[in-house]
Amino acid sequence: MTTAVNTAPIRAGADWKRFAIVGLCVLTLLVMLFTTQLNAVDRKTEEGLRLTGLDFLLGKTSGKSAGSCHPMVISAILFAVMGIAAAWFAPDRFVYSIVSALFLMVSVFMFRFDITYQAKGEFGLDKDSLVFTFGWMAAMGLSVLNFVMVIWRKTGRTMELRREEIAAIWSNANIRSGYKVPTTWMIIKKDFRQHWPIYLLILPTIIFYIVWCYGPMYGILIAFNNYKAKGGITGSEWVGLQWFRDFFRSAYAYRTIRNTLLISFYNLLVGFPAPIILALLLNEMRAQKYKRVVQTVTYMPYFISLVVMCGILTDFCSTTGLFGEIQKLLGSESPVNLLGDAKYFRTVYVGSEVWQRLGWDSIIFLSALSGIDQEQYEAATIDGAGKFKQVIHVTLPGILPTISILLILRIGSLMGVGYEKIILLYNGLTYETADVVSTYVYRKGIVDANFSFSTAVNLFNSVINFLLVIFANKMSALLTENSLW
Amino acid sequence: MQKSRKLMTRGERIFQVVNNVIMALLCVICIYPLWYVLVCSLSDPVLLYAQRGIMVWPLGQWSFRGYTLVMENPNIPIGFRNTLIYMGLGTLINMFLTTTAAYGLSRKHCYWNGAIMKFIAFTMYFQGGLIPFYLMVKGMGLLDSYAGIILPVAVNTWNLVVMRTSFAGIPDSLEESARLDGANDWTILWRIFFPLAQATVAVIALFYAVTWWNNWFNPSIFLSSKDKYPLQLVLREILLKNDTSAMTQIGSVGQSQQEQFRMLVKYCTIIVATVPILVVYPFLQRYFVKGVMIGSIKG
Repeated sequence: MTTAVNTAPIRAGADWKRFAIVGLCVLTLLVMLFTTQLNAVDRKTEEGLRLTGLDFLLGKTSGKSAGSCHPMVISAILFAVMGIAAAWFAPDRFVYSIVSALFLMVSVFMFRFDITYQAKGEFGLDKDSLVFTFGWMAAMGLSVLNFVMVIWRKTGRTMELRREEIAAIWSNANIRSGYKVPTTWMIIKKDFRQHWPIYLLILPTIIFYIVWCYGPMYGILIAFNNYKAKGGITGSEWVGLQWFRDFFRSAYAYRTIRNTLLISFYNLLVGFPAPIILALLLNEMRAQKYKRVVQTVTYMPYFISLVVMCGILTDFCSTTGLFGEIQKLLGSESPVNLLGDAKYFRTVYVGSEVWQRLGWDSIIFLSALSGIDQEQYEAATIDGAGKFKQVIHVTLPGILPTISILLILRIGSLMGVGYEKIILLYNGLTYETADVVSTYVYRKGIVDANFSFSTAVNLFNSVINFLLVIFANKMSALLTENSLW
Repeated sequence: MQKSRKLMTRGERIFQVVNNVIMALLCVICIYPLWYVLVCSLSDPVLLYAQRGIMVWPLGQWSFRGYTLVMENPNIPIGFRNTLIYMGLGTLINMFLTTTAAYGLSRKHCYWNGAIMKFIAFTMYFQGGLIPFYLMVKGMGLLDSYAGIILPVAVNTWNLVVMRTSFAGIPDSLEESARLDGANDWTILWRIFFPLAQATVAVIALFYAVTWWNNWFNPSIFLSSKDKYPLQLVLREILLKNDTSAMTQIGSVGQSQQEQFRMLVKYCTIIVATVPILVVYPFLQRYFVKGVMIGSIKG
């Protein structure tokens, strides 16, 4: 009797495609770095410009870009290395291979695409002064080949596994031959015949996602051109990565990124432990009715809508408002408007956030606390542990999984400070500390109608956010065997 | 109760007292800001404007003048009406799409379900961004329309995932026996799964409704005509933008007192806009709490 083999190890010798992938990654990188990627001759001065990928990496370029390295070269190196590592160390984890091959391809293409437009603005050359070279063509071709190879290997492997599985079933039934391995297409056809009513039920939602979630993703293309309503999303003049360069060369890049990270960080620092402490204190309460009242009352601020919340805040923070009165009570002659001074913005933001979410966020910890086995407390009492020691040795370890997963999720959303509240609260006086990336995107895009620039900044933010979430998720999967997907 | 009290040590008893005092303080901190707003809204506007201090009771003669002024402002009833439209229609569409998709995606043995789930989940982590989204709405010709507010947020991925998990937990045998009796997927969904998952359905509907109640950002960029403004947007005009046009509409107040009454009207508006939720919320609290739990089990 043989057992079903669906996780048969890949035989290294037979899997030549794996080594081809490694080779193609290396080759793509070598060609990109050491052959001429940009070859231009200025029509007027007859001066030539020949730059390899290495020059772009080391910043040995000319004009405005001199001294700064091209981000796409770095990303190409990263994804090539990732592709090699994936093929070498994790040959059966196709996600890594596919992702790295895809993004290697994107990086190489984006690099070429950008330096074409960079030539114009950054090097002071005409676009038609570019001369064909074999180098960039080869780099792009190799990256495509690499991607094709990865997909080929994946499909081949899928069929192989399926064949082995069926062979195992048939040999279990003591039938030697005469079976047919279904192709993917056959499976799809059969599946559709059986399940089309189910797919019909999902269809409206799929259409929703295509139109309202993936449609805007297509619109991201305007981050790489100079969007004009007349030209539309693809018909406007292409500018490569110009908007990204503009953003990073402006003072706003540092300011908005710093504010985003700081507001998130302070919010995490205060807003994360507070509900845990509240949950612990609530858990220790003996009077059950009183406890329920406290819970109801502390959950309540969560139900005040954001606009009303900000309305109350602006009124309280004004010199004649509640906080002004409190300042007078503390002996201040002329109270300051807390929302009119950049110094206090973060405090007001984080403080109000904690006030509003404290009770609500404690719910989840309370439920984790109620899940702790009471016998553990009894055992601890018998061992002579006092109340405080019980909290340290029983309660906290009991809710640690919940704490760690929530903490990791919060870290994952570090770059995702909500703009809604800040837009309602900030003003010209507080931009210095209040302006985060998403509010800057809003101001540039909606208020100033600078669509392409705003989309570029937004894309940068989304990508960082995405990477953080992926990282957070991997960490939580590692730590608690309990991840989001 | 009595027995456990005897078992407490001295230290524990002190801790209990301190803990109860802390909790009482916390309750005061949570309630006082709203109480303050309520008290201000009932105060005499002239006295209120002149001096107030830390108030615990209305200043001077109780006055409901602010509330009558709020009622005179036509924008507020319009806002309530529009919010009800968005909430009713929106939640209905939300629930229809979420339930059907969640049922479909919870079926095992469907070849595409895994891929569709990934396709959907991806949008939680990566979005097109504000401007492409705006251009999409504009391109569909939905600017300044009710559809432009409702359709772009017709499904919330998180709620869909929660609903799907709840449907997936319903035993297969129920579906199989219904199929033997000749039921199709549509019937199974509405006659068996929907009633069985009632608790989750209620929670999800509630979450959608609250989102509609709070919704102001999309309307603020998509709507240009004020007669389509939801309540929150009207509130923003009054509370945050110092919209004087809304104020002058209330008229009937002398020029010298405009400033005082503007302040009073703000407080009254806050109360009018918050009380409906705060009245309903204690009754729905357990559903909300349940929602938090459901969301956390299968994150």
